[in-house]
Amino acid sequence: MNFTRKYDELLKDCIYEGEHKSGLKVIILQKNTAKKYATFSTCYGSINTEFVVPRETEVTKVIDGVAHFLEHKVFEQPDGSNAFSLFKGANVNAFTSFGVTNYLFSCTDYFYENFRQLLSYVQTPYFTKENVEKEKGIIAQEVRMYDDDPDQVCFYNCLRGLYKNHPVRTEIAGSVEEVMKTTPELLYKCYNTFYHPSNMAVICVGDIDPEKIGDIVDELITKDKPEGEIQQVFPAEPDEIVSPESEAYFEIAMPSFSLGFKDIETGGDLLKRDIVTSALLRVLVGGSSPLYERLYSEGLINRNFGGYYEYEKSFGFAEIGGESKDPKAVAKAVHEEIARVKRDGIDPEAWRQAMNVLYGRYIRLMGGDVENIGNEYMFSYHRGVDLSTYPQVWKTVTIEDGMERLNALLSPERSSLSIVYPKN
Amino acid sequence: MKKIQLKKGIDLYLIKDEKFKTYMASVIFYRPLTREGASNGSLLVQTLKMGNELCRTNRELNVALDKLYGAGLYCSSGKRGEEHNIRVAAEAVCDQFLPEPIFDRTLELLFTTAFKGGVDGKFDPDTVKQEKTNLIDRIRNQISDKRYYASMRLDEIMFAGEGCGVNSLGYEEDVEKITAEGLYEYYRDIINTSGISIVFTGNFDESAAEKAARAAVEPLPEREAAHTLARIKSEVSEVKRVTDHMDVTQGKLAIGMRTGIKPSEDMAWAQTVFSAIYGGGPSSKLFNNVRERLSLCYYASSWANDLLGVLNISSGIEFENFDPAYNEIMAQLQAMKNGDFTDEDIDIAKKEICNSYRSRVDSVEAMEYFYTAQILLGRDITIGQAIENIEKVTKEQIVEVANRVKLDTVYFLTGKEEA
Repeated sequence: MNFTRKYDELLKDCIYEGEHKSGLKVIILQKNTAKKYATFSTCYGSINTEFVVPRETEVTKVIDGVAHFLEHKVFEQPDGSNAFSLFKGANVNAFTSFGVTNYLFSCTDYFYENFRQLLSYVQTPYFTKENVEKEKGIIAQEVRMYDDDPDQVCFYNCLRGLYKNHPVRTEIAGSVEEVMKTTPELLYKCYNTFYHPSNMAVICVGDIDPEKIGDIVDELITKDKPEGEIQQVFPAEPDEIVSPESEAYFEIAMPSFSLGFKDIETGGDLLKRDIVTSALLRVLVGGSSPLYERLYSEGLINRNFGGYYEYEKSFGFAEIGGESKDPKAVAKAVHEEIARVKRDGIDPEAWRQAMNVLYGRYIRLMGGDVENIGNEYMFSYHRGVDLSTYPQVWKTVTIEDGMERLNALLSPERSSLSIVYPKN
Repeated sequence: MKKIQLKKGIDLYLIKDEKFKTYMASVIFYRPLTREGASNGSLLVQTLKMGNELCRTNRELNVALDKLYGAGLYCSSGKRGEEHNIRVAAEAVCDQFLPEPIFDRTLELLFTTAFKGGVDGKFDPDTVKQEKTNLIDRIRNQISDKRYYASMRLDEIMFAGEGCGVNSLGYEEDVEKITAEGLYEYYRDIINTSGISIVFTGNFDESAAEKAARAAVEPLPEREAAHTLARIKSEVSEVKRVTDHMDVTQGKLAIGMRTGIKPSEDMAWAQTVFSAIYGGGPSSKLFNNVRERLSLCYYASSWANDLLGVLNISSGIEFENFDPAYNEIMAQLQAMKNGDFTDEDIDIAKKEICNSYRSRVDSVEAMEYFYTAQILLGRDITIGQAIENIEKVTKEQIVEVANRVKLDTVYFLTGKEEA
C-alpha cells in the first residue's frame, strides 16, 4: 500500500497516511522515541447499540455492553490460548470507550513481530458458549468494581440526567444483568458488522518504518472493500434534559459532584468546537479564573475542581466537577458566573492565556508519551478529525467563538447536577 | 547523569536528552520519614501552592503558569521506603517550540516556590487554616477509592511500628495541632537542614540550568545530608489477618508478604522477575489462574517493593469468594516455590521488565524516578545496566526468592451484611 508523507514544521516530525484496498486507514507518526506504539481500532463503542448491517434494511438493536464484552473476547484464540501470550516484551491491552474499541501494544524491541500478532489476533474471532460463559464472571467483577467507584457513579448519574435516549447514558460495560445475557451469536453479529477493516484504523507512533508496516498490512489484511456501509443509528434525543438533579450515597468522607451541560450542537467542525469549548471552560472555572479563586478561598472547592468537554459525532457535553462540602452552592456559583460572563463578556486577557495554555498542552502531548499521542490520534480519527491540524485550527479560534459557545452550550436549562453524598 | 555538588549536602543532577520537547526540573528535599513530618510535609506542599515572594496568591501563581503556556508546577510530599521526599517540580515546553522564551521565568517560579514560599517571611494564618481543612478532608477521603484504601489498611497493619508504616499523607489529629508559625518553622528547617537534590531531566541548556540552580541555593547553608534506607525485616512472628466491613458491592483482598531481600542484594533483581512471573501481568500465574481459569476476578496482581523487601498482592472479588481466591493465590505461590514454571515463563517476564526499563527513556518523569531511586540506593547504574542485571537472573534465584517469601498480613475489605 502507498503512503503520503507530510512533514510537520512545528513538531519536526513526519506523518505517513494511507488507505489499504480494504478501506483500512493506516497512519504512522514518526517520533524519535525508544518505545513504539501500535493501535488497531474500530469505530465501534458502547454507544453503538443500534445499527443497520450492510446490505440489510432492518435496524438491529442489541443489549448494552456488547462492544466491551467483545473487547474481552477478541483476545481468546481458537487454540484456547490468550492473545496476550502471542506478544514478546510488550505491554498489551485494549479498551472500549463511548465511540471506539482499541487494541494496542507498546514495546521497544520486536515491534514488527508484535505488530503482526496484533493484526492477526484481532481478525481471529473465536467465541464459544463455554468461553463466553467463563468471561461473564470476570466482566461482572469489572462492573462491580466500577459500581463501588463514587466518581463513576456520579458521572453516569449526571449523564442520565442529561440524556433521555442516547446510549451515552449507559455505563460502557453495561450492567451485570445484561452482561449475563450475552451470547456467542450476538458477539459474532456485532463483530462481523463492525470489525471490517473499512471501519477500522491502524495508528503507529514511534521510530517506525512505514514501508514495513505497509507490507505487513498488505499481507495480513486480505478483505476487500465491503459492499454497502454500516449505518450507525441513534434514538431521537430531545434538546431537553431528563432531570436537573440526582443524588447517590456512598461510604466516602466528602461529597463529590458533576455538573453537566448538554450540547445540542453535534457534528460539524469538532476540532474547532473542542478547542473553543476547552478554552471557554478554562476561562470560567480554570485555576486562574476569578470563580476558582473565590470558591477556593471560601473553602467550597479543592484542587480537584475543573471542567472539560467530551464528545463524539453524535453527542457532546461539558462537565464541571470536583469535591465540595456544599455542591449545590458551587453549582449555583457556576451558574451565576456563567450569567455574569454572558452579560459582561469574556476577559480578553484570560482568553489569550487560556488559548496559550492549550497550545502548550498540544506541544506537550505531541512531544510526550507515544501511547498518549496514538490514543489522541485514534480518537480524533474516528471522529473525523485530523489532529495534526490542531495548530492551524487553533489559530482561527477567536474570543467571539468563545462567546458564541458560551451562549449555545452553557445554559442552566440544559444542565444537570449529580451529587454523591457520604452515607450517614 | 551528571552530578555536580553545589554545596555540601546540596547536589545538582543533569539528565539531558535532546530528543525531548519538554524538560522537568525538580527540587527534592530528603530526610527520614517521621509521623510528625508526614503531616507537616503534606500541609507544607499544599501551602507552597498558595503563594510566594513572586506570586503572592494562588491565583497569581496560576496566572503565571498559564503565561508559561500551561507549564506544570507540582508540589508533593511522599515516601520512598523510610525516606521522606518533599518535591517541588516544574515541567515546561522547550523554548524552541514556543513563540517566546520562558526557560528563565519557569526556573525563577520553580525556585521561588521551593525556597521562598510564603509572603513577607511567613505563612498567612488564614491560608494555613484553610489548607489544614483541605488536608484533613483528603486524609478522611482516602476511604473513597476502595482498592487504594485496602492497600493503605494493609500497610498500616503490616508495618505497624515500622518507619515505612507512616502514612505519608499525614494524620488528622496531628494536622489539627499545626499552626502557621509552626509550619513556617518546619519549612525553614527543611530548607536549612534537609538534603537537597536538584534534578533536571529532558531537553534543557545545561549551563543555564547550573547557573540558575547555583544562584537559587547561594543563600542556603551547607548541611550534613544522607539518604535513609529502610530497615528490612525478614522474620514474621505471626500472620496478621484483618477483615473490615463496609457498605461496598465488591470485596477487596490485599495480601502482604516479606522476602527480606535488601535492594543492594543481587537477589533484588530476581525478586523483580519473580513478581512478574507470579502476578505481574497478563502472562502471570495470578492472571491466568485466579482470573482466566477460575473467573474469580477482573484483576489479581502482585507487586514487589524493592526498598522494603516486600511483595504485595491485590484482587477484587465477590465477598463469598474469599476462600477460593485466597487458596489459589497461595497455591500459585507454592507452585513458584516448587519451581513449577518454565524457561519460557522466565523469558517472557524478563522481556516485559526490560521493555518497561527501556521505555522509561521516553518520559522525563520516568527517567527522573529511575535515577532518583538509584541516588537513594547509593548506586550509580544506568537503565542499560539494570537491564543486564535482569537478564542475568537464573531460575534457581527465582525459586530462592519464592522460598524466602513469608506471608505477613491478609487484609479483606468486605460487605456489611456479614457483620
